[in-house]
Amino acid sequence: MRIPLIAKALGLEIGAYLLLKLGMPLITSPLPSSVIFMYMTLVTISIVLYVSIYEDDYNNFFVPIAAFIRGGKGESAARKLSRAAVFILIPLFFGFRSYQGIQINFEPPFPQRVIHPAPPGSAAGFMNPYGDDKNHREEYIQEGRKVFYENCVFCHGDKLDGKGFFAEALNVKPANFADATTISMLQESFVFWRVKTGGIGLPEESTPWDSAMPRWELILSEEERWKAIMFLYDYTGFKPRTWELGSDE
Amino acid sequence: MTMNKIIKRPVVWATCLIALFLCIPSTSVFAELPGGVSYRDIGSIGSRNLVWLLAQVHILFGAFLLGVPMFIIVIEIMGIKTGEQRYDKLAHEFADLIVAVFATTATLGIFFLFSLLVFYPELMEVMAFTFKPLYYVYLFLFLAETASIYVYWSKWEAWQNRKGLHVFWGFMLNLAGLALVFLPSGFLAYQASPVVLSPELTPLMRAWTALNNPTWIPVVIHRVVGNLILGGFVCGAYAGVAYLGAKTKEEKEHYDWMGYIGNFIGVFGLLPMPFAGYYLMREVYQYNQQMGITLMGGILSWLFILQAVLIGVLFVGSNYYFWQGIAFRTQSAPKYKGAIIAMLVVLVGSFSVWLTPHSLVASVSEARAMGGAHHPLLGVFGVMSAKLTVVNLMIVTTFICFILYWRADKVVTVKWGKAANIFTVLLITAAVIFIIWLGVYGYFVPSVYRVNVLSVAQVLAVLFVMFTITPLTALALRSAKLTQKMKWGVMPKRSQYALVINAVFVVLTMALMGYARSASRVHWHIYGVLEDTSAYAYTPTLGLASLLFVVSTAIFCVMVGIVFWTSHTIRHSRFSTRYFFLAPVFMWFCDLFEDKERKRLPKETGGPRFVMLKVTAVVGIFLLCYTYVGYQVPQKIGFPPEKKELDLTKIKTQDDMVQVGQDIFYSKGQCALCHSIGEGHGRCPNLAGVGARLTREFIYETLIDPKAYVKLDYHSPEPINYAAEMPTINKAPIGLSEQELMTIIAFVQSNGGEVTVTPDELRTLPKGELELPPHQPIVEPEVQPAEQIEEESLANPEKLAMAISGVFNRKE
Repeated sequence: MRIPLIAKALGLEIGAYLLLKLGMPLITSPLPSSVIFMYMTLVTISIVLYVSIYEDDYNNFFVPIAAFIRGGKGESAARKLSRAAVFILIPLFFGFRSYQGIQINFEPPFPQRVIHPAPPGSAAGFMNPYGDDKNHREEYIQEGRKVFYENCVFCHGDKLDGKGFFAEALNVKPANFADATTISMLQESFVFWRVKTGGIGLPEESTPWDSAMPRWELILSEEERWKAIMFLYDYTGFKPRTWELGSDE
Repeated sequence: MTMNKIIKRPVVWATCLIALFLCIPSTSVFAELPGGVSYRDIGSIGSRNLVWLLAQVHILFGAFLLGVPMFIIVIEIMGIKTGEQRYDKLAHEFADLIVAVFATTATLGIFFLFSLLVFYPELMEVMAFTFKPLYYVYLFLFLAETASIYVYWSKWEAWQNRKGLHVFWGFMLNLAGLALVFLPSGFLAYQASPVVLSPELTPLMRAWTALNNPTWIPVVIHRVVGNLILGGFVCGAYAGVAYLGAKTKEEKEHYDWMGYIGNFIGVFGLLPMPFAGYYLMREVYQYNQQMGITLMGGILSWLFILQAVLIGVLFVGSNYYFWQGIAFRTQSAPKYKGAIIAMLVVLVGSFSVWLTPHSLVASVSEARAMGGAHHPLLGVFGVMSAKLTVVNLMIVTTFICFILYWRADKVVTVKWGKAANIFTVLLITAAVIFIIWLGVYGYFVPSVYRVNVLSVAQVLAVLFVMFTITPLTALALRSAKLTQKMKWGVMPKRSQYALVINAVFVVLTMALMGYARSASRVHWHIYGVLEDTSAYAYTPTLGLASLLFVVSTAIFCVMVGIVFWTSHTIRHSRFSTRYFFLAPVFMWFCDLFEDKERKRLPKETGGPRFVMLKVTAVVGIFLLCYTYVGYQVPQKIGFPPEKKELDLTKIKTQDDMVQVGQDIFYSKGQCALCHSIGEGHGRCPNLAGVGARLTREFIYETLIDPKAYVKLDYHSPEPINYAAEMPTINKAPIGLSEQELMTIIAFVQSNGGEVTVTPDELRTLPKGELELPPHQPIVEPEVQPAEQIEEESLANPEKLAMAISGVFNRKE
């Protein structure tokens, strides 16, 4: 027996949802609901697009739905009942959603923050004075390592993966330097600016009040900060973003 | 005397022309106000929003006007080459459309100009000062455009036997149009990426130097391609609406074909567009990294997610139309079902990667479960490497779709047909694997390598596929047997709605990108040069911005709808305002006084009935959905930074001085517009480690008399001609005070050298600019007025040295 198109579409929709909601946590971290909603919207749109390309699909998909909604003479009681059920369930569903929406909620609101804000103009000029010194490079990195493990490790973790002792207690999680999409995408001057001014130095759109990053310029010397940054890049194996090809071989 | 005769008199024309040119000097009269008002506001809507809407709608009309002639002329030439009458008819109908919008575009342009003059007089004064000579050129181009557009259109029938001449006018029209993109794009590119204009430049040189700024050409390329896309899709939408209302078979066939051509042109422009955008973005980063971050990583980064939605819809929408074309117009439709599913999956899959942001919107508990704002798996999709890969895949898919459409219902008869097929499949497969491999590899190399090598390789792979397969297919199909001629006029209604929605989304994209470009300047009118001090200097939330995109799109759609409707259905010969968008209102008003009989006169053209209401409803729903999406992303307002006054009491140590100097270097002093420290774009000498090489006297002299040493250093061994020379820093427009200059010196010295200026010296210096007005009493008689010192010192190096040593305590 051939499976009707509507059943296929429904199966795909449910399957995709289950995969995103339940399948995903099996292999990696669970997805936020906003992302699931976005992907489900895409799945729905592609189903609608697909069934409306060919005329026979279009008829097989939309005609039964229209017939179900419209009803007609000589319908079975079960069909009538199910229609009534659908028309009761739909408003109920939206009512329930509204109820959920206005219910008192102890979750903090969504933190809408800009992760990589544009630094103030003055931050573009920071230049690593120790970067070019190839002879003492190892030495500097070792000094940076010391700085890191004396100061940064508590939040950013001993593997630089943002899983330090305190990380669990912080709400904007410490940056994960081991991730290929963090420091390797940024210029050294940007990283230096973030270390220097810390969370408090962020512009308004990045909610400086959420970040626990200290203002290291009050604690560490410039030299220590640069060396720590050199250590970050050395340990993770990433290179800071540059604009000139061949500047690093 | 009748109107006709008046128009034919050259005196009238000459007067109009002179009046037009006199308008330019009068703009400065408008702008230079005795009270020195910088801004005016208008209640409720707000001056910025009003200017925003006017600019946007005007530019949309302009884009249509300049985009359509680009393909009209190609279609006309195709008509001449093939001898088929339908091409000529189509080109003529497109020409009707541009003439229809011409008056509206000009009217909106004047609205826009006056709103700028009224609400932003100071900005307009600066712009007029900078670009005045080019304003005349602009006006001339405008006249050229007007003349060529009317000649081209009105002589269509008369010059049927003189096609060469007609095509020549079409060419002139395009030339004028292209120049019209070049000039104003330069004006606005200057606002985003200004170059330093030294006061010695002649007006013409100043205008040219300002025009020739780093992002000018990328912006022009982006706009020209954008105009083509907009023109194509809007023409497609026009055909779609006409198709929906068509009654006869001929009409249906004609508009179906026209819609197909429109969509094809739009897609054709869409394919290179990501590359053009990428080039522009690269130039922006090169010019000013901060601006680049504002756009791509900072407060505007979510805007690009909103843009991704639009681009994705465009790709899916235009492919959807192609798929329906295969399903309805060809005989072998069922054969392609599997291929269509595959393309749909690839497109939507790419679209979902394209949409996934790097930092996800998540509640606190969700973020906790995820281990931060970045998802361990999806975070990978959030960066450039993934985005570029999927956009290339989308382009390849669209290309495959086009090839399939092209080959449908044709049997290749050449001997090497089979080999060509295998080659095509192999090449596309190889290219796709190559693109994905490059994308993955991009995560393991430094950014600079990815940007400059891998991304370029991806683009080249796509281009290579296109430029190899297209001629190959054309050759293979040249002698192919047609199993069935393509059936036109059988498309379902939904496909026509897809055409309309595509056009709406192109318009939305243009509105969004225009905003992105303006918003990247944040609180500057001219980046780093003229600050926006109005109440509207802040960056609005993306929701509000989306609302404005939607409103400008809606205004554009409604106006275009009315214009097209007017030019199509109402053809009263006594009205010359046929092409003006208010015409229908006047028509309706006049008809109120007519007797019923005349109203029922048969229409002259018998053109198709437009089904506006349904289309409007569908468009409205889509626009509402988009506004909703705009409000779903984080809503943040970006405020301009606080103003810093030089506060001497806070400067206690040399480090403080360096800090203050650094701030001035990157802001008020405008030094960083040209000079970089460390990595740089090489527009001016790089100041890395310069503190070790230069004495403070030298630095000071360079600031107050830049020419003195630049020539010595750079004219030997080989003279280098700098178009934009360094301005004198202690004079207008930058006009730093002596104290500020000292902090700059401290900062420059700190670059690799020892800081020798001390905070104590600062306090002994005058606070304001060195140039004192002559009527001001001089407190200490032994101190010469500063102006005099300078004039003399410039003439006499020895005195200059004395002047410096008077200011500085030389430690020797």
